[in-house]
Amino acid sequence: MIVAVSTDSIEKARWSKERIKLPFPVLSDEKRTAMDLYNTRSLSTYKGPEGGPYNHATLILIDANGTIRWIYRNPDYRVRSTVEEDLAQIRKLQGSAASSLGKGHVK
Amino acid sequence: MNRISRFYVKANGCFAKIAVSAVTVLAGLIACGARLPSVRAATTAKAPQFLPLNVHVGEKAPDFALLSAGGQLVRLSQFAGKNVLLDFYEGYW
Repeated sequence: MIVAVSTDSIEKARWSKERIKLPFPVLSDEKRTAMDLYNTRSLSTYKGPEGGPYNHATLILIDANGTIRWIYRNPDYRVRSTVEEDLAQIRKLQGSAASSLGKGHVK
Repeated sequence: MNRISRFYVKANGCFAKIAVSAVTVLAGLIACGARLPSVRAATTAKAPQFLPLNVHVGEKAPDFALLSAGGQLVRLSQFAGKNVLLDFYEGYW
């Protein structure tokens, strides 16, 4: 299961989900609650058109028990992990646990 | 004659002063220009773009509830029993 979180409004989140046809939940963190809970806030001075702080791209892999197993962040926000790296981490987790990344669909 | 020569000396001195200060400014600018890139590089290398996370590997992922693109309230804990890849992204794709 993939869960995407950004500070976009619900309208923007819907736009992303529909335009790119994302088959997983795209959550709107307009009030920055999840951002502050995990402290993913970016220190960069760039402000989006709607203003306010935004996330520094962060990937967090959580196992079936709710325990964090892998975190990816890069000091340069433009550098993302590769799909190969993500999949390698997910496979490692699947190898150690019986559960898998289900294809859940939340509208 | 005295007046004229005195004026000339004065004017000449003034020009010399300006010339000297211009040279100083130019030297200063060159020095600044030469130093700027290295100063800028040091600043970008040191300036952190993010703060440490509140969460770490091995810890329980804190639960939260947010509205999804479809207007549905989604809790992280509702995916218990599944592996979850939580992706915080900047927005404005």
